[in-house]
Amino acid sequence: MSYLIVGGSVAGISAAKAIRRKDPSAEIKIISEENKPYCRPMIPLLLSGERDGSEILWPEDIEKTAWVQVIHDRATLIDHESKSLKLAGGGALGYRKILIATGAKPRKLDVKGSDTKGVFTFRTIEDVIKIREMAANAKKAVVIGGGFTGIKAAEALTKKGIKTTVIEIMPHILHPRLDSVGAGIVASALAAEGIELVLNETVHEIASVNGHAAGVITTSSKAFRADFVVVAVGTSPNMELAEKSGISMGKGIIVNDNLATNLPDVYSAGDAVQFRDIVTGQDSVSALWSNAAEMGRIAGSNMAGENLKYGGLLSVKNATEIAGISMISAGEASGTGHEVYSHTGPGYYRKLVFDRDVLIGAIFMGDLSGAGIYVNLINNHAPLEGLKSLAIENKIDYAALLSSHVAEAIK
Amino acid sequence: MKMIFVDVSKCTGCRSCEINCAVAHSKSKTLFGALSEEPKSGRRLYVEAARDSKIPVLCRHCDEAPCINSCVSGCLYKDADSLVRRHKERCIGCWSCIMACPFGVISQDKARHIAVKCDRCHKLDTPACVSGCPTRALFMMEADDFAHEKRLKIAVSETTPV
Repeated sequence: MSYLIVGGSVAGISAAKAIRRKDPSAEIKIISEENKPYCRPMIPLLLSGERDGSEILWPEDIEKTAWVQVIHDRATLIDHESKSLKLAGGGALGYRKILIATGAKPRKLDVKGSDTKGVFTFRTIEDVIKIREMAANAKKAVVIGGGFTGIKAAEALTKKGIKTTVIEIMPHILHPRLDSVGAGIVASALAAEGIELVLNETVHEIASVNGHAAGVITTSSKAFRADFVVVAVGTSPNMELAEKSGISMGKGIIVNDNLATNLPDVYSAGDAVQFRDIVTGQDSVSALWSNAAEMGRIAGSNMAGENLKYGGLLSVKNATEIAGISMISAGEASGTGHEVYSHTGPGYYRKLVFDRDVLIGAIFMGDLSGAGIYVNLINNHAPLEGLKSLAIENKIDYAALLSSHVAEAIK
Repeated sequence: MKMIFVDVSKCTGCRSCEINCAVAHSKSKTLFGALSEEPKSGRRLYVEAARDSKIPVLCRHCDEAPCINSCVSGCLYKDADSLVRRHKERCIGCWSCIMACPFGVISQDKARHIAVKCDRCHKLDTPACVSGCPTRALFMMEADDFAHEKRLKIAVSETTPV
Protein backbone atom coordinates (compact mmCIF):
# COMPACT_ATOMS: atom_id res chain seq x y z
CA MET A 1 0.00 0.00 0.00
CA SER A 2 1.34 3.39 -0.89
CA TYR A 3 1.75 6.75 0.72
CA LEU A 4 -0.41 9.25 -1.14
CA ILE A 5 0.24 12.97 -1.21
CA VAL A 6 -2.39 15.27 -2.65
CA GLY A 7 -0.66 18.42 -3.90
CA GLY A 8 2.70 18.77 -5.60
CA SER A 9 4.14 21.97 -4.21
CA VAL A 10 6.57 22.55 -1.36
CA ALA A 11 4.58 20.89 1.47
CA GLY A 12 3.87 17.79 -0.62
CA ILE A 13 7.40 17.46 -1.93
CA SER A 14 8.97 18.05 1.50
CA ALA A 15 6.70 15.34 2.89
CA ALA A 16 7.59 12.92 0.09
CA LYS A 17 11.29 13.45 0.73
CA ALA A 18 10.84 12.97 4.48
CA ILE A 19 8.97 9.71 3.90
CA ARG A 20 11.67 8.54 1.51
CA ARG A 21 14.43 9.23 4.05
CA LYS A 22 12.64 7.14 6.66
CA ASP A 23 11.32 4.40 4.42
CA PRO A 24 13.58 3.60 1.45
CA SER A 25 11.27 1.00 -0.09
CA ALA A 26 7.89 2.71 0.31
CA GLU A 27 5.71 3.43 -2.68
CA ILE A 28 5.03 7.19 -2.73
CA LYS A 29 2.60 8.85 -5.11
CA ILE A 30 1.93 12.57 -5.50
CA ILE A 31 -1.36 13.58 -7.07
CA SER A 32 -0.99 17.01 -8.61
CA GLU A 33 -3.13 19.18 -10.84
CA GLU A 34 -0.22 21.33 -11.92
CA ASN A 35 2.09 20.24 -14.69
CA LYS A 36 5.53 20.15 -13.10
CA PRO A 37 6.51 21.26 -9.60
CA TYR A 38 8.00 24.74 -9.53
CA CYS A 39 9.14 27.42 -7.11
CA ARG A 40 6.01 29.53 -6.73
CA PRO A 41 7.68 32.54 -5.09
CA MET A 42 9.64 32.97 -8.33
CA ILE A 43 6.66 33.75 -10.54
CA PRO A 44 7.21 37.54 -10.34
CA LEU A 45 10.56 36.90 -12.07
CA LEU A 46 8.78 34.86 -14.71
CA LEU A 47 6.39 37.75 -15.31
CA SER A 48 9.16 40.33 -15.55
CA GLY A 49 11.16 38.05 -17.81
CA GLU A 50 14.17 37.88 -15.49
CA ARG A 51 13.81 34.10 -15.34
CA ASP A 52 12.32 31.75 -17.91
CA GLY A 53 9.94 28.83 -17.42
CA SER A 54 12.66 26.21 -17.08
CA GLU A 55 14.56 28.27 -14.51
CA ILE A 56 11.73 28.31 -12.00
CA LEU A 57 11.06 24.58 -12.11
CA TRP A 58 11.75 22.58 -8.95
CA PRO A 59 15.54 22.09 -8.92
CA GLU A 60 15.45 18.31 -8.81
CA ASP A 61 13.40 15.70 -10.61
CA ILE A 62 11.74 14.14 -7.57
CA GLU A 63 10.55 11.19 -9.65
CA LYS A 64 14.23 10.25 -9.94
CA THR A 65 15.81 11.64 -6.76
CA ALA A 66 13.11 10.49 -4.33
CA TRP A 67 11.51 7.78 -6.47
CA VAL A 68 8.15 9.43 -6.25
CA GLN A 69 5.48 8.77 -8.82
CA VAL A 70 3.63 11.92 -9.90
CA ILE A 71 0.06 11.44 -11.09
CA HIS A 72 -1.56 14.33 -12.94
CA ASP A 73 -5.13 14.28 -11.74
CA ARG A 74 -7.49 15.90 -9.28
CA ALA A 75 -8.36 14.13 -6.04
CA THR A 76 -12.07 14.30 -5.30
CA LEU A 77 -12.75 12.21 -2.18
CA ILE A 78 -10.95 10.38 0.59
CA ASP A 79 -12.88 7.31 1.75
CA HIS A 80 -11.18 6.59 5.07
CA GLU A 81 -13.14 3.38 5.63
CA SER A 82 -11.95 1.67 2.47
CA LYS A 83 -8.70 3.72 2.65
CA SER A 84 -8.94 4.89 -0.91
CA LEU A 85 -8.70 8.17 -2.77
CA LYS A 86 -11.09 8.86 -5.65
CA LEU A 87 -9.73 10.71 -8.67
CA ALA A 88 -11.54 13.03 -11.09
CA GLY A 89 -10.10 11.09 -14.01
CA GLY A 90 -11.92 7.98 -12.77
CA GLY A 91 -10.59 5.18 -10.63
CA ALA A 92 -9.27 5.21 -7.11
CA LEU A 93 -5.97 4.70 -5.32
CA GLY A 94 -5.57 2.74 -2.11
CA TYR A 95 -3.37 4.19 0.62
CA ARG A 96 -1.57 3.36 3.81
CA LYS A 97 -1.26 7.02 4.87
CA ILE A 98 -2.39 10.09 2.98
CA LEU A 99 -1.38 13.75 3.14
CA ILE A 100 -3.58 16.64 2.11
CA ALA A 101 -1.28 19.38 0.86
CA THR A 102 -3.72 21.12 -1.43
CA GLY A 103 -2.40 24.60 -0.72
CA ALA A 104 -4.29 27.79 -1.21
CA LYS A 105 -5.95 29.69 -4.01
CA PRO A 106 -6.20 33.41 -4.65
CA ARG A 107 -9.05 34.97 -2.75
CA LYS A 108 -11.79 36.33 -4.96
CA LEU A 109 -12.71 39.96 -4.88
CA ASP A 110 -16.42 40.19 -4.26
CA VAL A 111 -17.24 43.20 -6.40
CA LYS A 112 -19.08 43.85 -9.63
CA GLY A 113 -16.97 43.01 -12.65
CA SER A 114 -14.50 40.71 -10.90
CA ASP A 115 -15.21 37.94 -13.43
CA THR A 116 -14.72 40.18 -16.46
CA LYS A 117 -12.21 39.31 -19.16
CA GLY A 118 -8.93 41.03 -18.46
CA VAL A 119 -9.05 40.43 -14.69
CA PHE A 120 -6.30 38.13 -13.50
CA THR A 121 -5.02 36.49 -10.37
CA PHE A 122 -1.28 36.09 -9.78
CA ARG A 123 -0.37 32.75 -8.28
CA THR A 124 0.42 30.12 -10.90
CA ILE A 125 2.50 29.79 -14.06
CA GLU A 126 -0.79 29.75 -15.99
CA ASP A 127 -1.68 33.13 -14.47
CA VAL A 128 1.66 34.53 -15.61
CA ILE A 129 1.23 33.22 -19.15
CA LYS A 130 -2.18 34.90 -19.38
CA ILE A 131 -0.94 38.19 -17.93
CA ARG A 132 2.07 38.20 -20.25
CA GLU A 133 -0.14 37.69 -23.29
CA MET A 134 -2.32 40.57 -22.15
CA ALA A 135 0.63 42.78 -21.22
CA ALA A 136 2.21 42.47 -24.65
CA ASN A 137 -0.29 44.99 -26.04
CA ALA A 138 -1.12 46.96 -22.92
CA LYS A 139 0.08 50.27 -21.53
CA LYS A 140 -1.60 50.57 -18.17
CA ALA A 141 -2.53 48.17 -15.38
CA VAL A 142 -4.18 48.33 -11.99
CA VAL A 143 -3.16 45.92 -9.24
CA ILE A 144 -5.70 45.51 -6.47
CA GLY A 145 -3.96 44.72 -3.19
CA GLY A 146 -0.71 46.12 -1.80
CA GLY A 147 0.60 42.97 -0.14
CA PHE A 148 3.78 41.25 -1.26
CA THR A 149 2.01 39.54 -4.17
CA GLY A 150 0.46 42.74 -5.46
CA ILE A 151 3.63 44.80 -5.06
CA LYS A 152 5.73 42.10 -6.74
CA ALA A 153 3.23 41.99 -9.61
CA ALA A 154 3.38 45.78 -9.93
CA GLU A 155 7.19 45.78 -9.98
CA ALA A 156 7.28 43.05 -12.64
CA LEU A 157 4.74 44.87 -14.81
CA THR A 158 6.67 48.12 -14.45
CA LYS A 159 9.82 46.35 -15.62
CA LYS A 160 7.85 45.36 -18.71
CA GLY A 161 7.10 49.01 -19.37
CA ILE A 162 3.52 49.03 -18.12
CA LYS A 163 2.37 52.00 -16.07
CA THR A 164 0.98 50.39 -12.93
CA THR A 165 -1.23 51.63 -10.13
CA VAL A 166 -1.64 49.68 -6.88
CA ILE A 167 -4.84 50.15 -4.90
CA GLU A 168 -4.59 49.26 -1.22
CA ILE A 169 -7.41 49.24 1.30
CA MET A 170 -5.18 49.89 4.34
CA PRO A 171 -3.39 53.14 5.27
CA HIS A 172 -0.08 51.59 4.19
CA ILE A 173 1.15 48.82 1.91
CA LEU A 174 2.52 45.45 3.07
CA HIS A 175 0.39 45.33 6.18
CA PRO A 176 0.94 43.39 8.50
CA ARG A 177 4.36 42.39 7.25
CA LEU A 178 5.72 45.90 7.73
CA ASP A 179 4.63 48.81 9.88
CA SER A 180 3.88 52.30 8.54
CA VAL A 181 7.53 53.42 8.83
CA GLY A 182 8.93 50.43 6.92
CA ALA A 183 6.12 50.56 4.37
CA GLY A 184 6.80 54.27 3.90
CA ILE A 185 10.43 53.58 2.97
CA VAL A 186 9.30 50.96 0.44
CA ALA A 187 6.57 53.23 -0.91
CA SER A 188 9.04 56.03 -1.69
CA ALA A 189 11.31 53.59 -3.51
CA LEU A 190 8.37 52.22 -5.50
CA ALA A 191 7.24 55.73 -6.40
CA ALA A 192 10.76 56.41 -7.67
CA GLU A 193 10.36 53.38 -9.94
CA GLY A 194 7.21 54.96 -11.34
CA ILE A 195 4.61 52.87 -9.51
CA GLU A 196 1.56 54.77 -8.34
CA LEU A 197 0.30 53.74 -4.88
CA VAL A 198 -3.25 54.57 -3.87
CA LEU A 199 -3.91 53.98 -0.16
CA ASN A 200 -7.05 53.89 1.96
CA GLU A 201 -9.21 53.06 -1.03
CA THR A 202 -11.72 50.23 -1.30
CA VAL A 203 -12.56 48.87 -4.73
CA HIS A 204 -16.20 49.26 -5.57
CA GLU A 205 -16.27 47.93 -9.10
CA ILE A 206 -14.12 46.73 -11.94
CA ALA A 207 -15.47 48.65 -14.90
CA SER A 208 -15.56 47.15 -18.34
CA VAL A 209 -15.90 48.24 -21.95
CA ASN A 210 -17.20 45.73 -24.48
CA GLY A 211 -16.91 42.94 -21.94
CA HIS A 212 -13.27 43.64 -21.15
CA ALA A 213 -11.87 45.22 -17.99
CA ALA A 214 -11.17 48.89 -18.54
CA GLY A 215 -10.51 50.25 -15.08
CA VAL A 216 -11.29 50.25 -11.39
CA ILE A 217 -13.70 52.45 -9.49
CA THR A 218 -13.33 52.88 -5.73
CA THR A 219 -16.05 53.43 -3.14
CA SER A 220 -14.99 57.08 -2.95
CA SER A 221 -15.79 57.30 -6.69
CA LYS A 222 -12.21 57.60 -7.85
CA ALA A 223 -11.63 55.96 -11.22
CA PHE A 224 -8.40 54.39 -12.47
CA ARG A 225 -8.17 53.48 -16.12
CA ALA A 226 -6.44 50.21 -16.99
CA ASP A 227 -5.99 47.85 -19.92
CA PHE A 228 -6.14 44.98 -17.46
CA VAL A 229 -6.45 44.33 -13.72
CA VAL A 230 -4.52 42.02 -11.40
CA VAL A 231 -6.29 40.99 -8.19
CA ALA A 232 -3.95 40.14 -5.31
CA VAL A 233 -6.05 40.28 -2.16
CA GLY A 234 -4.67 37.27 -0.32
CA THR A 235 -5.33 33.57 -0.47
CA SER A 236 -7.73 31.09 1.04
CA PRO A 237 -7.05 27.40 1.74
CA ASN A 238 -8.14 24.77 -0.77
CA MET A 239 -10.47 22.77 1.45
CA GLU A 240 -12.91 21.10 -0.97
CA LEU A 241 -11.30 17.66 -0.76
CA ALA A 242 -11.08 17.75 3.03
CA GLU A 243 -14.59 19.13 3.39
CA LYS A 244 -16.18 16.43 1.23
CA SER A 245 -14.19 13.74 3.00
CA GLY A 246 -15.47 14.67 6.46
CA ILE A 247 -12.38 16.33 7.88
CA SER A 248 -12.78 18.92 10.64
CA MET A 249 -12.22 22.45 9.48
CA GLY A 250 -12.05 25.99 10.69
CA LYS A 251 -10.25 28.69 8.74
CA GLY A 252 -8.24 25.82 7.32
CA ILE A 253 -7.88 22.10 7.87
CA ILE A 254 -7.64 21.31 11.59
CA VAL A 255 -4.73 19.10 12.65
CA ASN A 256 -3.13 18.04 15.91
CA ASP A 257 0.51 18.70 16.83
CA ASN A 258 1.56 15.68 14.76
CA LEU A 259 -0.24 17.32 11.81
CA ALA A 260 -2.79 14.47 11.71
CA THR A 261 -6.43 15.29 10.95
CA ASN A 262 -9.45 13.87 12.75
CA LEU A 263 -9.61 10.95 10.27
CA PRO A 264 -7.27 8.00 10.86
CA ASP A 265 -4.08 8.00 8.73
CA VAL A 266 -5.00 11.30 7.09
CA TYR A 267 -2.48 14.13 7.58
CA SER A 268 -2.34 17.67 6.32
CA ALA A 269 0.41 20.25 5.78
CA GLY A 270 1.04 23.58 4.11
CA ASP A 271 -1.18 26.50 3.15
CA ALA A 272 -4.38 24.48 3.59
CA VAL A 273 -3.75 23.98 7.31
CA GLN A 274 -4.71 26.19 10.21
CA PHE A 275 -2.33 26.11 13.13
CA ARG A 276 -1.35 28.02 16.23
CA ASP A 277 0.69 31.16 15.64
CA ILE A 278 3.62 31.06 18.07
CA VAL A 279 3.38 34.76 18.88
CA THR A 280 -0.35 35.44 18.95
CA GLY A 281 -1.43 32.01 20.17
CA GLN A 282 -4.33 32.24 17.70
CA ASP A 283 -5.07 29.67 15.00
CA SER A 284 -3.96 31.00 11.67
CA VAL A 285 -3.47 30.03 8.03
CA SER A 286 -0.19 31.40 6.78
CA ALA A 287 0.40 30.69 3.08
CA LEU A 288 4.15 31.03 3.59
CA TRP A 289 6.70 28.83 1.84
CA SER A 290 8.92 28.25 4.88
CA ASN A 291 6.00 27.23 7.10
CA ALA A 292 4.76 24.86 4.40
CA ALA A 293 8.18 23.27 3.94
CA GLU A 294 8.52 22.70 7.68
CA MET A 295 5.01 21.28 8.03
CA GLY A 296 5.57 18.98 5.05
CA ARG A 297 8.76 17.61 6.55
CA ILE A 298 7.11 16.96 9.92
CA ALA A 299 3.93 15.42 8.48
CA GLY A 300 5.94 13.19 6.14
CA SER A 301 8.20 11.99 8.94
CA ASN A 302 5.17 11.20 11.11
CA MET A 303 3.43 9.35 8.28
CA ALA A 304 6.52 7.17 8.08
CA GLY A 305 6.40 6.38 11.79
CA GLU A 306 8.13 9.24 13.61
CA ASN A 307 6.51 11.24 16.38
CA LEU A 308 7.52 14.80 15.59
CA LYS A 309 5.53 17.75 16.90
CA TYR A 310 5.03 20.97 15.01
CA GLY A 311 5.74 23.86 17.35
CA GLY A 312 3.61 26.40 15.55
CA LEU A 313 3.88 28.86 12.72
CA LEU A 314 4.62 32.52 12.38
CA SER A 315 1.92 34.22 10.29
CA VAL A 316 4.46 36.91 9.49
CA LYS A 317 7.88 35.55 8.54
CA ASN A 318 8.97 37.16 5.34
CA ALA A 319 12.18 37.85 3.54
CA THR A 320 12.32 39.62 0.23
CA GLU A 321 13.63 42.54 -1.72
CA ILE A 322 11.43 45.28 -3.15
CA ALA A 323 12.66 48.24 -5.16
CA GLY A 324 16.24 47.45 -4.16
CA ILE A 325 15.45 47.36 -0.45
CA SER A 326 16.15 44.04 1.23
CA MET A 327 13.93 43.23 4.16
CA ILE A 328 13.10 40.57 6.74
CA SER A 329 10.17 40.77 9.11
CA ALA A 330 8.64 38.35 11.58
CA GLY A 331 6.00 38.10 14.27
CA GLU A 332 4.25 41.26 15.41
CA ALA A 333 6.19 43.31 12.90
CA SER A 334 3.55 46.01 12.65
CA GLY A 335 3.01 45.81 16.39
CA THR A 336 2.19 48.81 18.51
CA GLY A 337 1.00 48.78 22.09
CA HIS A 338 4.07 46.80 23.10
CA GLU A 339 7.59 47.82 23.99
CA VAL A 340 9.10 48.94 20.69
CA TYR A 341 12.71 49.86 19.87
CA SER A 342 13.57 51.20 16.45
CA HIS A 343 16.43 52.79 14.54
CA THR A 344 16.28 54.46 11.17
CA GLY A 345 19.00 55.68 8.87
CA PRO A 346 19.39 56.23 5.14
CA GLY A 347 17.96 53.09 3.52
CA TYR A 348 18.02 51.42 6.91
CA TYR A 349 15.33 50.51 9.39
CA ARG A 350 15.41 48.14 12.29
CA LYS A 351 12.70 47.49 14.83
CA LEU A 352 12.25 45.09 17.71
CA VAL A 353 8.97 44.49 19.52
CA PHE A 354 8.95 43.03 23.03
CA ASP A 355 6.27 41.66 25.30
CA ARG A 356 8.08 42.05 28.64
CA ASP A 357 11.36 40.23 27.92
CA VAL A 358 10.04 38.01 25.12
CA LEU A 359 10.91 39.16 21.61
CA ILE A 360 7.66 38.98 19.62
CA GLY A 361 8.38 40.93 16.46
CA ALA A 362 11.15 42.35 14.32
CA ILE A 363 11.78 44.26 11.12
CA PHE A 364 15.14 44.50 9.37
CA MET A 365 15.49 46.65 6.28
CA GLY A 366 18.62 47.55 4.37
CA ASP A 367 20.95 45.59 6.62
CA LEU A 368 20.00 41.99 7.28
CA SER A 369 23.07 40.84 9.16
CA GLY A 370 22.16 38.55 12.03
CA ALA A 371 18.43 38.83 11.29
CA GLY A 372 18.05 35.04 11.42
CA ILE A 373 19.18 34.99 15.04
CA TYR A 374 16.41 37.42 16.00
CA VAL A 375 13.78 35.57 13.94
CA ASN A 376 14.75 32.37 15.71
CA LEU A 377 14.44 34.12 19.07
CA ILE A 378 10.88 35.10 18.07
CA ASN A 379 10.26 31.53 17.02
CA ASN A 380 11.51 30.23 20.39
CA HIS A 381 9.18 32.63 22.22
CA ALA A 382 11.33 32.37 25.36
CA PRO A 383 12.24 35.10 27.86
CA LEU A 384 15.52 36.75 26.86
CA GLU A 385 16.46 37.85 30.37
CA GLY A 386 19.93 39.41 30.22
CA LEU A 387 20.02 39.21 26.44
CA LYS A 388 17.26 41.75 26.07
CA SER A 389 19.54 44.75 26.58
CA LEU A 390 22.02 43.28 24.08
CA ALA A 391 19.17 42.83 21.58
CA ILE A 392 18.10 46.44 21.96
CA GLU A 393 21.69 47.57 21.30
CA ASN A 394 21.79 45.29 18.21
CA LYS A 395 24.58 43.30 19.81
CA ILE A 396 23.16 39.80 19.74
CA ASP A 397 25.19 37.41 17.67
CA TYR A 398 25.55 33.69 18.00
CA ALA A 399 28.56 34.07 20.26
CA ALA A 400 26.45 36.12 22.67
CA LEU A 401 23.81 33.39 22.81
CA LEU A 402 26.45 30.75 23.26
CA SER A 403 28.23 32.60 26.04
CA SER A 404 25.00 33.36 27.87
CA HIS A 405 24.09 29.68 27.99
CA VAL A 406 27.39 27.89 28.25
CA ALA A 407 29.74 30.49 29.71
CA GLU A 408 30.31 28.17 32.62
CA ALA A 409 30.92 25.12 30.47
CA ILE A 410 33.65 26.87 28.50
CA LYS A 411 35.60 27.74 31.63
CA MET B 1 33.75 12.72 7.56
CA LYS B 2 35.87 15.48 9.08
CA MET B 3 34.26 18.57 10.56
CA ILE B 4 35.60 21.95 11.61
CA PHE B 5 35.88 22.28 15.37
CA VAL B 6 36.55 25.42 17.40
CA ASP B 7 38.68 25.44 20.54
CA VAL B 8 37.46 28.73 21.99
CA SER B 9 40.23 28.83 24.59
CA LYS B 10 42.81 29.16 21.78
CA CYS B 11 41.11 31.91 19.78
CA THR B 12 42.89 35.24 20.13
CA GLY B 13 40.43 37.09 17.88
CA CYS B 14 43.09 37.83 15.24
CA ARG B 15 40.62 37.27 12.39
CA SER B 16 43.20 35.54 10.20
CA CYS B 17 40.49 32.97 9.43
CA GLU B 18 38.22 35.70 8.08
CA ILE B 19 40.96 37.10 5.84
CA ASN B 20 41.95 33.65 4.57
CA CYS B 21 38.30 32.88 3.89
CA ALA B 22 37.76 36.04 1.87
CA VAL B 23 40.97 35.45 -0.09
CA ALA B 24 40.06 31.82 -0.80
CA HIS B 25 36.72 32.99 -2.22
CA SER B 26 38.22 35.77 -4.32
CA LYS B 27 38.99 35.46 -8.03
CA SER B 28 42.75 35.82 -7.71
CA LYS B 29 43.14 33.74 -4.50
CA THR B 30 45.85 36.10 -3.32
CA LEU B 31 45.57 38.77 -0.63
CA PHE B 32 46.76 41.66 -2.81
CA GLY B 33 44.70 40.48 -5.75
CA ALA B 34 41.61 40.18 -3.56
CA LEU B 35 42.05 43.71 -2.22
CA SER B 36 41.91 45.21 -5.70
CA GLU B 37 38.96 43.16 -6.96
CA GLU B 38 35.54 44.71 -7.52
CA PRO B 39 33.14 43.58 -6.24
CA LYS B 40 35.18 42.53 -3.23
CA SER B 41 35.14 39.00 -1.93
CA GLY B 42 33.58 38.63 1.54
CA ARG B 43 34.29 36.38 4.48
CA ARG B 44 31.92 33.54 5.24
CA LEU B 45 32.74 33.07 8.92
CA TYR B 46 32.67 35.63 11.67
CA VAL B 47 34.85 36.05 14.73
CA GLU B 48 32.53 37.39 17.36
CA ALA B 49 33.38 38.69 20.79
CA ALA B 50 31.40 37.42 23.74
CA ARG B 51 32.31 38.38 27.28
CA ASP B 52 35.89 37.19 27.73
CA SER B 53 35.93 34.90 24.71
CA LYS B 54 36.38 35.35 20.99
CA ILE B 55 34.35 32.81 19.06
CA PRO B 56 34.68 32.08 15.34
CA VAL B 57 31.11 31.34 14.22
CA LEU B 58 30.71 29.30 11.07
CA CYS B 59 28.16 27.31 9.11
CA ARG B 60 27.27 23.98 10.76
CA HIS B 61 26.08 22.41 7.51
CA CYS B 62 23.04 21.26 9.51
CA ASP B 63 21.36 17.93 8.83
CA GLU B 64 17.86 19.40 8.64
CA ALA B 65 19.20 22.72 7.44
CA PRO B 66 16.67 25.53 8.01
CA CYS B 67 18.25 27.53 5.18
CA ILE B 68 17.55 24.77 2.65
CA ASN B 69 14.02 24.35 4.00
CA SER B 70 13.27 28.02 3.52
CA CYS B 71 15.01 28.51 0.17
CA VAL B 72 12.28 29.45 -2.30
CA SER B 73 14.30 29.17 -5.49
CA GLY B 74 15.92 25.75 -5.19
CA CYS B 75 19.35 27.34 -4.84
CA LEU B 76 20.52 25.67 -1.61
CA TYR B 77 21.11 21.93 -1.50
CA LYS B 78 23.04 19.20 0.32
CA ASP B 79 25.91 17.87 -1.73
CA ALA B 80 27.18 14.29 -1.69
CA ASP B 81 29.49 15.14 1.22
CA SER B 82 26.59 16.54 3.26
CA LEU B 83 27.74 20.13 2.80
CA VAL B 84 25.11 22.83 2.38
CA ARG B 85 25.98 24.38 -0.98
CA ARG B 86 24.49 26.80 -3.50
CA HIS B 87 23.51 26.46 -7.12
CA LYS B 88 24.70 30.07 -7.40
CA GLU B 89 22.86 30.84 -10.63
CA ARG B 90 19.52 29.95 -8.99
CA CYS B 91 19.82 32.47 -6.16
CA ILE B 92 17.35 35.33 -6.60
CA GLY B 93 18.44 37.37 -3.56
CA CYS B 94 15.22 36.84 -1.61
CA TRP B 95 17.22 36.46 1.63
CA SER B 96 14.98 33.71 3.06
CA CYS B 97 18.06 31.73 4.07
CA ILE B 98 19.36 34.69 6.08
CA MET B 99 16.01 34.81 7.86
CA ALA B 100 16.16 31.08 8.62
CA CYS B 101 19.74 30.66 9.82
CA PRO B 102 19.86 30.61 13.63
CA PHE B 103 23.63 31.12 13.59
CA GLY B 104 23.60 34.25 11.45
CA VAL B 105 26.29 32.96 9.11
CA ILE B 106 24.68 33.68 5.73
CA SER B 107 25.15 37.16 4.36
CA GLN B 108 24.24 39.35 1.41
CA ASP B 109 26.59 39.94 -1.48
CA LYS B 110 24.87 43.16 -2.44
CA ALA B 111 26.97 43.72 -5.55
CA ARG B 112 26.11 40.34 -7.05
CA HIS B 113 22.68 40.28 -5.41
CA ILE B 114 23.10 36.75 -4.06
CA ALA B 115 23.43 35.12 -0.65
CA VAL B 116 26.88 33.90 0.36
CA LYS B 117 27.77 31.18 2.83
CA CYS B 118 30.51 28.77 3.80
CA ASP B 119 31.13 25.99 1.28
CA ARG B 120 33.75 24.47 3.57
CA CYS B 121 36.24 25.08 0.75
CA HIS B 122 35.09 21.87 -0.88
CA LYS B 123 37.79 22.14 -3.54
CA LEU B 124 40.61 22.34 -0.97
CA ASP B 125 42.02 19.60 1.26
CA THR B 126 41.89 21.90 4.27
CA PRO B 127 39.42 24.80 4.52
CA ALA B 128 41.06 28.22 4.27
CA CYS B 129 39.92 29.30 7.74
CA VAL B 130 41.51 26.24 9.31
CA SER B 131 44.79 26.53 7.44
CA GLY B 132 44.93 30.24 8.24
CA CYS B 133 44.45 29.86 11.98
CA PRO B 134 47.81 30.51 13.69
CA THR B 135 46.79 29.07 17.08
CA ARG B 136 44.91 25.98 15.87
CA ALA B 137 41.73 27.28 17.47
CA LEU B 138 40.09 26.01 14.28
CA PHE B 139 40.85 22.43 13.37
CA MET B 140 39.50 19.56 11.30
CA MET B 141 38.70 16.26 12.93
CA GLU B 142 36.37 13.28 12.70
CA ALA B 143 33.46 13.84 15.09
CA ASP B 144 34.07 10.44 16.69
CA ASP B 145 37.74 11.23 17.29
CA PHE B 146 36.79 14.55 18.87
CA ALA B 147 34.43 12.77 21.28
CA HIS B 148 37.15 10.23 22.03
CA GLU B 149 39.70 12.93 22.88
CA LYS B 150 37.22 14.72 25.06
CA ARG B 151 36.45 11.51 27.00
CA LEU B 152 40.16 10.91 27.44
CA LYS B 153 40.73 14.43 28.79
CA ILE B 154 37.94 14.07 31.30
CA ALA B 155 39.16 10.64 32.35
CA VAL B 156 42.67 11.95 32.88
CA SER B 157 41.55 15.01 34.82
CA GLU B 158 39.27 12.96 37.06
CA THR B 159 41.88 10.32 37.85
CA THR B 160 44.75 12.74 38.45
CA PRO B 161 45.25 13.31 42.19
CA VAL B 162 45.04 16.98 43.09
